[in-house]
Amino acid sequence: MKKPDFETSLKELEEIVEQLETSDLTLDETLAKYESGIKIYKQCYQILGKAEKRINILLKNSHGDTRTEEFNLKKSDDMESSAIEGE
Amino acid sequence: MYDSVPDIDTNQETQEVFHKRNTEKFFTVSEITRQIRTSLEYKFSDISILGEISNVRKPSSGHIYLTLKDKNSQLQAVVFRNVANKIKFELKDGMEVITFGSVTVYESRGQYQLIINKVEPKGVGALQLAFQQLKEKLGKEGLFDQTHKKPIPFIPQKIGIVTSPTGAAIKDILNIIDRRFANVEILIYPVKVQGEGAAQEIAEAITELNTLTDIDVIIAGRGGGSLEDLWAFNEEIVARSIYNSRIPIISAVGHEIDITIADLVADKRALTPSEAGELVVPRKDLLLDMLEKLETRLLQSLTGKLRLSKDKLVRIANSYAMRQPFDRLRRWQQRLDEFAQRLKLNITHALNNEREKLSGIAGKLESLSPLNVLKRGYTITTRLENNKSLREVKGLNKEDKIKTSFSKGSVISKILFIET
Repeated sequence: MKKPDFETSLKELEEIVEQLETSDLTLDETLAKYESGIKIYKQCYQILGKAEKRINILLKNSHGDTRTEEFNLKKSDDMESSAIEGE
Repeated sequence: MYDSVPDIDTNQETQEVFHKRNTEKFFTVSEITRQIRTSLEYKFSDISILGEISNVRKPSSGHIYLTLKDKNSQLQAVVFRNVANKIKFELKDGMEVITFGSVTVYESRGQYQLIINKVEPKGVGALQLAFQQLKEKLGKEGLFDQTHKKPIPFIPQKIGIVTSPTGAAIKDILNIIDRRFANVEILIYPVKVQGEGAAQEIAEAITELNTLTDIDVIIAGRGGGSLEDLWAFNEEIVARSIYNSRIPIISAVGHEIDITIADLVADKRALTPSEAGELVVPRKDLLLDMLEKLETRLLQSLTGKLRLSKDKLVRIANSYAMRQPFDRLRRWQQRLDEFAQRLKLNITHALNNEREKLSGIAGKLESLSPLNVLKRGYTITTRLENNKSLREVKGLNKEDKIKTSFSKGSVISKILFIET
């Protein structure tokens, strides 16, 4: 499945808006343009929200097999700050 | 190599034998060679020599043979493989170098030579020179060509990061990405970013990430450091892995002033790891804002168009040209109503006439009804089998059944005889 390209879609949406604003379209044409514009708008919105936040680190054992584990950047910071706070 | 204590003992014995036979004293070739060697090694060990490299030979053994020379003299020299592997730059004819090592004798040829343990180019650091050399070599091969550079995806779904999981770079990169576009998937491939084996690990990581199907872009880098610290990113193996990567790569090595070979090969160079975070994802809030504005404009242009169309319609409807046909229509309608009224009157009149005529006919019809005749005492005779009325005896036979209907009731009789 081909991923919808945000940049292209956005440009398309811009063009539609500009056409609607500047050219003398019939009412039918206007409605059709509006509909396809809204469709692209929804697609763009979906792309922005599609991926989930997930940070993994790849780990290898001595046999060279790999697995992934959640990576926590805050670990060392937390330790430092808790040490400062004297917990 | 050939030197052992018992061997020397044997030679000493031999010497003594010769001493006895001849009063003349002499050395064997091996012995004198060894003595020369010992004295040379004693006198000329761990020395620095400046010279110009010439006649470099690199056989498959991995050792490097060369001649050091100046205007008047030449000195044979050898760099053994274990040392040669550590030299970052390439030894080339004509290069002025400062060598560190010891003079020794290659006994089987009776030649003295310099064993080089370390070599540095004169006037420029070894690493700078190595950088220049590799840059020139890879440049000629086309590894830095703009045409080979792949575009960085605008919104990646999954980002691979090749760096140390404990360094400053990963922290910076993750912070910036989180601020700009938090919902993105990241896979960290942890590697050594400096020291022995770092370049191999980085190159392997890039190659392996390329075997995954879902990585859209790779960031490879590390935080700032000395030229030695950053060196892995100047190694040929890393440069080639970047060049061969199917996935676009953003390099993020050190600070802005540190340009590495990796930066030159990468599809995009980030000046710092933080900048890599900025290059790899757009600001989501700005995109959302842009989208919202476009949607508003979309809606406004539609409502604007609708309002315009409505206004136009109203204007047309109120125009004289449009009103006129309506007026005529109304006049026609009025006339039509009149006609209809008149038609209705006419029809009612006609209908009434017809109705009167009809009731006159009905009266006549009634007086002719056979039922009235029966009331006056007549009967109707029919043949029983087909209920046909009989007007004469013709066609009837003895024993036929006939039905005689009276004004009220009827009888069925059998014919006894027929009179004509």
